[in-house]
Amino acid sequence: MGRDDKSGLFLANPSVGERFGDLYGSFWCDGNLSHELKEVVRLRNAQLTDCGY
Amino acid sequence: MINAEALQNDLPNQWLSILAFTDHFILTPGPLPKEMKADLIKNYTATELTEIALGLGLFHGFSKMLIALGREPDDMATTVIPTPTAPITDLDIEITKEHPVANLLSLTNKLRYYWLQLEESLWSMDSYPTNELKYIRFHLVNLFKLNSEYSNFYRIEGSSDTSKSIADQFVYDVRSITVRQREEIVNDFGSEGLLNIMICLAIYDGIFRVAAVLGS
Repeated sequence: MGRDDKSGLFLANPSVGERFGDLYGSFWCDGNLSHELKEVVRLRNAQLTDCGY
Repeated sequence: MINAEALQNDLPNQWLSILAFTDHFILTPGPLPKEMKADLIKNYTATELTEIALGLGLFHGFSKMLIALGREPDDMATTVIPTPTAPITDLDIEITKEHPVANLLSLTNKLRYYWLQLEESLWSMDSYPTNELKYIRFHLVNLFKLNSEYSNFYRIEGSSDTSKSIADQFVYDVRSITVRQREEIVNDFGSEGLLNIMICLAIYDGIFRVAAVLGS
């Protein structure tokens, strides 16, 4: 979702999509923790919420 | 396909403690059990915990938003997600010292700014009644049993049964939100209104979980 989104969810709200993309991108690119750790947490959330994203 | 049990057997202790934290965050959001807190402090700094909790809030809130909107792909065997890119927006938002989320995220300054900008963009959508969104936000403060810093800042009088009901469903059982409920919202406020209320729920469900877990 967000700036890199291909789903079109934010097409009518580019500002919200941009802001989400900034936050999400900053989480992945600027933080102290490894991508691997973040990915494990993302997958665990997907598993518990039964969400395919 | 990921086998969680096999995966966990191969993970270092540092990762296992963050997985336990993840489970707590999603399943029982509230003050951390003493033992879990001690284990986390041994493995992570307060800044790192804030960072991962905020990310988890985004994953969780926005995953549920997609479910609530009925936007899950039919065939989810594999989903390719592009690598997120670094932000391009300047950090130019004013921070008020009373804002509880600004205080909560003070250790992760860039993330704090970007979260506040996302929050600001939510309120600029203006597709669902603002007061209803504020009721929902305050209702979530109560659902997550947040402290007076939050209840005083977000308090608003009045209530709406429809908004409360949707908020309860989003927090406790997002899959109980029905096609008919979505259609009713679209009939009243359009598809942008539906997106507006769901983004509101995603943002505050996520960040109030962070507050419930780390703010205690």
